Amino acid sequence: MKNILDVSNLEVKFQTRRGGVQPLRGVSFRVHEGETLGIVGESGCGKSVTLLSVMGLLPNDMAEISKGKVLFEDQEITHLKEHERRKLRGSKMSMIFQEPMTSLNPVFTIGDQLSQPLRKHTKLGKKEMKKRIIDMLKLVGISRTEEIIHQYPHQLSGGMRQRVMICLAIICEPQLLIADEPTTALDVTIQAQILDLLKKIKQKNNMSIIFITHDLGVVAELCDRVIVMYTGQIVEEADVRTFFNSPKHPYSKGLLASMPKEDERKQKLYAIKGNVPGLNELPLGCSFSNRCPMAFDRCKMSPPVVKVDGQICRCWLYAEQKVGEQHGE
Amino acid sequence: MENDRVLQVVNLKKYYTVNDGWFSSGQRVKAVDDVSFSIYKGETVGLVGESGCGKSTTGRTVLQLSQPTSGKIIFEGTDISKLKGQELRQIRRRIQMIFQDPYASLDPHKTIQQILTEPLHVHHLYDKKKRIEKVRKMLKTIGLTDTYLTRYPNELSGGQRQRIAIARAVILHPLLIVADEPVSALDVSVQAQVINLLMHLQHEFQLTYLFISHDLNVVRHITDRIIVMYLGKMVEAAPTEELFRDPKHPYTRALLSAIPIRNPDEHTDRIVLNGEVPSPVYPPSGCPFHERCPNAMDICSKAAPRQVNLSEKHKTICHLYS
Repeated sequence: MKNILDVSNLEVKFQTRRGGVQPLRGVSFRVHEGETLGIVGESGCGKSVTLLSVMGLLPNDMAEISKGKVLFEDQEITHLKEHERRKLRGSKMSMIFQEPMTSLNPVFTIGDQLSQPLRKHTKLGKKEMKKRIIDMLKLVGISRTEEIIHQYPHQLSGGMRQRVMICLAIICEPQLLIADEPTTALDVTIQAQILDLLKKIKQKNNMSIIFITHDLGVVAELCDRVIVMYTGQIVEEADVRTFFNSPKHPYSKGLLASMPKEDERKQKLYAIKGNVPGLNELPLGCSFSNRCPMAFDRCKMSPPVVKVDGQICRCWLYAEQKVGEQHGE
Repeated sequence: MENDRVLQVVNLKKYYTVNDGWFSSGQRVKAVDDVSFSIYKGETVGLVGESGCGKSTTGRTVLQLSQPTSGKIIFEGTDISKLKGQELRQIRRRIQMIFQDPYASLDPHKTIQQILTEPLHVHHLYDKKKRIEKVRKMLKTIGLTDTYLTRYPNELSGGQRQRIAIARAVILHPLLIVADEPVSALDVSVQAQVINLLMHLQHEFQLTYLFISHDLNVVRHITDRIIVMYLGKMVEAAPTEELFRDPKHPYTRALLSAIPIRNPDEHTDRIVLNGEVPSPVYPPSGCPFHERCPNAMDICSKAAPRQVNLSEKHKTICHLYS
C-alpha cells in the first residue's frame, strides 16, 4: 500500500526557562493511504507534539526538530518555509482539535470561516464556493445549512461546532486528516455521531486519518492500526485486532487491563503503579521500568525495538526471540 | 431499610434566571425539575446523563452549595434545605464533596498538611498534636508517605492531588460523599488507582457515595444503583446490573448503546440519536426527550409522562410503560 506519511526517527527538543527537555525521543511510523492510525498514550507522552511537528505547528521560538525526517507523499517537509507549509496545510493535510470553541474564530460567521481555505487553495468563484460549503455542511450532517452559514460559532452547540470544525478540515479534500482528541469534550451520544461521520467521510474520500486519543474504546471503534506512546517514544505498534487480543508491551497490557470489565463489577481494578514520570526525571534505560511489573536487570539499558509477528514492540522481554530483526531506523 | 436511609431528595427543583438580551425579562432555566430519590447507607448511587442534564446541580444542591428553588433534602431525618449558619456547618461535616478538577480544588498556597488539617480545624476537632497524627494516618491510608506533608499541590501529579482531595473529604469521617466526576480529569492508568482507592475507603469507613459521572464504564464498575437524568428530569432509576441488562427508557437505551466497544471484535447495535440535547431555556413540551426519541408517540409531545414503577427498584418516566 502507498504511504501517505513516513515519519522516521523524529526527535524534538523544547527550550524552557528551566532548561531543555526532549518530548520526542526518536519516533518512526508510517501512515498508509486510506487507513486510520490511532495514537494512544497518556498526558505528556508526546502524541500531540508528534502531530504538531507533522503539521509544522510547533512554536518556533522554543521548539526545534533536532533530528529525523517527515516525508509527506515522498516529499521531505520538516525544512519547508512557512509559505510552502501553508500550501500544504488545509489543502493536503489538515487538523481537528479537541476544543471546537477555541479553534473557531468568534468574530467571523461560519460561512466566512469555511470559505477561507477555499479562497486560499482553490480558484472557485463565489457561487461555486457557496455551493461547495453547503454541500460539505450537509455531508457532516448539518441540516439548516442556509441559516448556519450566517451564524457565529457561539450560536452553535458543542457537537455542531465540532461538525463545523470537521467540515473546515475536509473542505479541500485533504489526503491526511489529523484529529487530536476530537470527541473528548463531547457527550457519548454526540461522540457516537461524530465517529460515525468520520468513518463515512473516510470511505467516501479515501482519506487517511491519524486519530489521537486516550480512550481505548474509541480506538477499537475506529482505527485500523494502533501506536502506543510513552514518554516520547513508541513502545508498541500493531494492527487493531492484535493490539486488543494480544498486546505485547507491559504498558499496553496494563492500559488494557485497567479498563473496567463487565463481569468484574465492584472488584479491584488492575492499576499500573506510580505515575507517568516527568520528562526531566525519566529512569535510566527503559522509561517504563520503574512502573513495570515485569522489569528485570536488563531494563536498566535502553531496550531494543523488536518485531514480533508483525507487531513492533520496544521491550527487553522479546529481545532474545527475534535477534537481528530490529525495526529499521 | 427505613433506618438505613441516609438521604432523601423529594421533588427537588432548582431554577435559574438568565437574562436573554438587554430588553427582555429573565428566562427561567429549569436545571433540575422535580427530582426525587433516596440513598441508603453504604451504597454507591450513580447519577448519569449528558452535559446540561442537571446532574452536577443536583449534587451541589444536596450539599447546599446552592439553594434549591423548592423541594426537600432530608439528611438523616432532618430537612437540611432550610438550615443556616452553625446548624448547616454541623451537617457539612457529615456530607463532603470531591470535585472533578484536582488542580482547581486545592489551595496552591497551602502545604498538604495545612490542606488536610483545615477541615479538622474548621470543625474544632482534636488538639493540634492529634490533628497531625490523624493527617499522617490518612496519608498512609491513601498511599502517600509523610514526606508529602510539607509539599505544595503544584509539586504533585494529578492523581496524587486527587488523592489529597479525597483524603480531605474523608478525614472528617462523613456519612455521605458527593463525588462529581472524580476520575474524569485523570490519565487512564491513574484512573484505575483512584477508583480502587474510592472503593477501599468506602469499605474502611462505611461511606455512602453519590457518584456523578458521564463515564458509563466507570459507573457500571463502581455503583449499586443508577439514576439517569435528561434535561433536568429523572428518566430512569434501577440497580446497576439490571439497568445495563434491561434498560427501559429509550434515552437510557441510546445512551448505553453509545458506549464505545471494548474490543474490535465486539459488535453493538448502536442507536444513533438524531440532533442534540435541546436548550433547557426552551425545553420541548410533554416529554423532554420526544423530539429525539425513536419510539415517540402522539401523546409524548402533549403530556408529560409520569413515573412508572416497573418493580420495587426499577422506575422509569416514560409513556411507553404507562
